[in-house]
Amino acid sequence: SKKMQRRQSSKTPTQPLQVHHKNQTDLSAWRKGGRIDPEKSVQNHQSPNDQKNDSKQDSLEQALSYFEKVQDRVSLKKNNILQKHLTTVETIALQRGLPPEGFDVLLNVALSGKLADTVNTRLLKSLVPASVIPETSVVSSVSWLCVSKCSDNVQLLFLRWLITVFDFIDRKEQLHALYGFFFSFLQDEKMCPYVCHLLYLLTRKQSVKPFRIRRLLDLQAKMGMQPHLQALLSLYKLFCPELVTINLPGKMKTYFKNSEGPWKAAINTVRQRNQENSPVSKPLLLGTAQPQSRKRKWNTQLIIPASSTNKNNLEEDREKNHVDLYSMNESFPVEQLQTFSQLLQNIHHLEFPSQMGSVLTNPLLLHYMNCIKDESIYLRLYYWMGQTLQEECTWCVADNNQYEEEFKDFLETVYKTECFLQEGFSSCEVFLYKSLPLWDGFCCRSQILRLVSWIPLSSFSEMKSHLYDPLAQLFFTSSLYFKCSVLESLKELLQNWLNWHVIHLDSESDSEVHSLNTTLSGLVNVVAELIHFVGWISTVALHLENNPTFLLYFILDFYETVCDMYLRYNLPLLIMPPAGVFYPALLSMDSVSLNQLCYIMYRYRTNLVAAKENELSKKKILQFKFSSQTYQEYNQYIIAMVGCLWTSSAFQKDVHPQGLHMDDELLKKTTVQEFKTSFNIVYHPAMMGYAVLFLQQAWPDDTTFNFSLIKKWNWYLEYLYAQGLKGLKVFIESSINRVSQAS
Amino acid sequence: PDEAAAHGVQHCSSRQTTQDLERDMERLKVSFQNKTLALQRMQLTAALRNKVKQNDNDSGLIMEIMKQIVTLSRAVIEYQQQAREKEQKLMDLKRKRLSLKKAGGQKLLQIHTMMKKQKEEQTSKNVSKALETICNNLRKEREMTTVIQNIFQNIIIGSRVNWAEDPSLKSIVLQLEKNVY
Repeated sequence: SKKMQRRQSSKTPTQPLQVHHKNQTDLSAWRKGGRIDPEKSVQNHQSPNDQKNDSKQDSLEQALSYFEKVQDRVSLKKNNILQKHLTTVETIALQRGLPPEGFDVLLNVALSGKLADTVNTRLLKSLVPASVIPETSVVSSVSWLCVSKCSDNVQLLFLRWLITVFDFIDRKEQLHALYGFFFSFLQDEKMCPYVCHLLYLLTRKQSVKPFRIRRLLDLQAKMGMQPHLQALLSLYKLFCPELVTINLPGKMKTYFKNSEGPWKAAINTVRQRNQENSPVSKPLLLGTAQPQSRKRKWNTQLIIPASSTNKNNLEEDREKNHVDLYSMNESFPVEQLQTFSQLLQNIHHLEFPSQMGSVLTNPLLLHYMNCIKDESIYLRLYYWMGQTLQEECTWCVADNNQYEEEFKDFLETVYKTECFLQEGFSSCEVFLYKSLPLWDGFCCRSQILRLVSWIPLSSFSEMKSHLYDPLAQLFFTSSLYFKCSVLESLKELLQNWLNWHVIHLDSESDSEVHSLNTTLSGLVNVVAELIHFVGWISTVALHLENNPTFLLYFILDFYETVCDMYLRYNLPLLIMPPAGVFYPALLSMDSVSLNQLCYIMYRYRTNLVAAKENELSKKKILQFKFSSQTYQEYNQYIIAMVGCLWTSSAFQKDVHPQGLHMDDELLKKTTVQEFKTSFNIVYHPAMMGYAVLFLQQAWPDDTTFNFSLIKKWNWYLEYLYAQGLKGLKVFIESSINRVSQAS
Repeated sequence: PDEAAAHGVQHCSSRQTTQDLERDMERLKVSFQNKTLALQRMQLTAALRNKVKQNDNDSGLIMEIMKQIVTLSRAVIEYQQQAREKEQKLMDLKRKRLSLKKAGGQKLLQIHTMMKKQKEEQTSKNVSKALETICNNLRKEREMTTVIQNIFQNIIIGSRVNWAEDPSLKSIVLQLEKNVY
C-alpha cells in the first residue's frame, strides 16, 4: 500500500508483500548510509543509544503497521498484541513525539470507530507531534468526523487535540477549504464551544457569509449568549461590520476555555528533547524565506509553500479580476510575502495569517501593521498574546518554572515589537496587572521592567491599584539596583507617554477614532499621578537607603524629564520634587547631584517664565494655568537654595515647611563655628574638594587651608565652571542677581 | 519641632481623617530628616576641614581622596552630558518614528480610498445596458453556484460518507468553499 511505500527509503524497491521485516532492515540500513544488507545490518555493532533508538523506531513501525491493518472489534483486554502496540505508541509519543507519517494511520483508527473507546482515547492522547503534522491526515480525520462512527467523547477529544496542535499542522489551505464542514459541526451542543474556537482560528474575511451569521444568531437565540458564540460573532463583525448588525459587548478577556489538556506536558518534553539535538534556528532576515521553527507554538513563523502552482493560480485570478468588474478583492496570501517591494505593491489587499503570533517575528508584516488601523488585527493579536502570556507566565502557572529562558525570550520579542511599532499593547498591560502582584522581582526582571515602560497611556487610570501598589511593595523590599531599575523604567514610561501626547496633540479628530479616548485633563491627571507616585517612593527610598548618590542620580534623572514637560512636550503641568527629594539633593555630599539639582531648578524656572509669558501675552488660550501654589513651591525652593549656596542665610530664610529653618541656639549646639556659611559654595560638603584644590592653585605657598581666603567669588566660580559644573553656572546666572562681588 | 507639636494639638480638636494624620506625620518625618541631615553634614564637613588644616598624614590621605572625587565627578558630569544628548537624540528619533507611523497610516487610508474610488469609477463607466444585464446574470449565476456549493456541502455531511477515501470526491469537497469568480 501507499503508506508502506512512503515509509520505505527511496533506495529500496517497493515490495508490498514482504512487509514487516524488509521494512525494518531496509530502514536500518538506510539510516547507516544506504548499505542494503539484510543479514549484516542486524548484527552490526551500534552504540547502545542508537540500538535503543533503532529498536524503538522498529517497534513504532510495527505498531503503526499493525494499526493500519487491524480489523474491527479487537478487544483490548483480550488481545495482548493490541496492548503491546498501544503501549509502544504511547511511550514513544510521550518521549519523542510521533513522526509525521504516523498521524494518518492513528487518526484513521481512532476516528473510524473500529476499536473500543478506551483504545481510541489513548491513541488520541498520544498524538504528540515530533515535528509537523501533515495536513492530509487532518483532512481525512475531518472526513471521519462527518461519518461520525466514533463516539461523542472521542469526537470532542479530537477537536481539543486539533485546537492544541493547530500550529503544528504544516499547511492550512485545505483546512480553510473545509470551513463549511467545521461550521456544520456547530449543530452539536457539546462540540459547539470547541468548534467555535477552531473556527476562530480559521476564519478569514471570505469565510464570513450572511447565512453563517444568521446561523450563529439562531444558535445564540437557542443557547443564549455563550462566550464562544460571542467570540466568533465579534470576529465576524470585525471582518465585515456591515453584515453583523447586532451589538456586541467590547473586549472580553477570555473567550475560550483553555483546552490544552493532556498534550501540553508531552509537547514540552518533546520540544526540550529536540532542542538538545537540533541546532538553534537562524535569526530572521528581511527578504529571505523563513524555515519552520521547531520551537514552541508562539515562535511559529510563516510557512511558505514552495510550490509554483500557487503562483500560477494567483496570476490567473489577477487576470480574471481585470475582466470581471464585480469581482471581490482577491487578497494577496501573506505566506508569499518575502520582500519589501512585494509588500509595497500589495499593500492594499494584504491579509494577515491565521496565526497572528507569527507577526511578531516578521518585519514585513510589522511594517504593514504599523500603517494599518484595522481593529480586527489588533483584536486577534491581543487575544493571542494575552492567552500566551497568561499561559506561559513562569510565576503564575506552577508547572512553568523550567521554561524561564523561553518566556524571557518571548517577553523580549514582545518588547522589541512594541519598540518597532512605538506603541504599547493593551494585552501586555493586562498581563502586567495580573502578574505583578505575584512577581518576585527576580524572574525576567529586565524584560518585565521594560514592558512596564510601554504601558499605553489612557485617561482611565486603574494604575494605582494595578501597577503602583504591587510595584511599591516590591520596590521597598528590594535591593538598591532594583530600585534604580524601577525608577529608570518609570522615567521611560513617562517619556513614552509624553511623546505619544505630543504627536497626537495635533490630530484632535483622530483621537475619537483612536481607542484611547483621551482628554487633556484626563491625561494631565494620569501623568500627575505617576509623578506623585515616583516622588513618594523616592522619598521613602532615599531614607531607607540612607541617601546614596547612585539612587539620587536616578531620581534626579526622572525629575529632569518632569521639569521640562511644558516646553518640550507641550503638557501644561509642572510638579516640583517633594521636599524629601529636594533637600537630600541640596545637602548632598557629591557635586554631581548638586550640579544636577541646579540644572533642574534652572529648567523649572525657564518653564515657569515661559508659561507666565504665554499667559500674559494671551498667545494661546490656556486651559490650564499653573496654580499659585506651584509658583509658591518653586519660590520656597529657590529661596532655600540661594540661601544655602549664595547668601549663607539658609537657616533663617528657608520658609519651606520641611526645610532647614532652625534656631541659632540649636545650631550653636553643633559646635560648628561658622554654621551660617556651612552650605555656601565654598563650605558646602559637595564643594569641599573644589575649594581645597582652588586654594592650592591660587595660594600655592599657603599650607594652612584658610578657606576664608576665598572672598572674591568670581574667580572661584570661573574655576568651578571650568571643572564642568555647568548646571551650577546656569542656575547662578539665572537666579542670582549679582550686584556686587560680595561673598 | 515645638511649633509643630503645638500645631498638632490644635488640629486634633478638629475632625481629621486617618489619612490626613498620616500625611502630617510623613511631612513631619521628612522635615525632621532634612534638618537632621543638614546638621550632620555640617558637622561632618567641619570636622573634615579641621582635619585637613592639621596637615598631617591623615590629611594627606583625605586630600588625595578629595582630588580623586573631583576627577571622578568631572568624568561623571561629562558622561551625564553625553547621555543627555544621546537621550535627546533618541527622543527625537522616537518622535520621528511616531510621526512617520501617523503619516503611514494616513497614506494607507488614502490608498484604500483611492482604490475604492477607482473601482467605483470603473463600475460607473460601463453603463451600457447590455453589459449591465450580463453582469447581473453573472451575479445571479454566481449566487446560485454558491448556493449549490453549500447544498453539496450539506448533502455530503448529511450522507455521512467518508469523502476523503475517494480522491475525486475529496477534490470536489475541497473546492466547495472557494468563491466563484
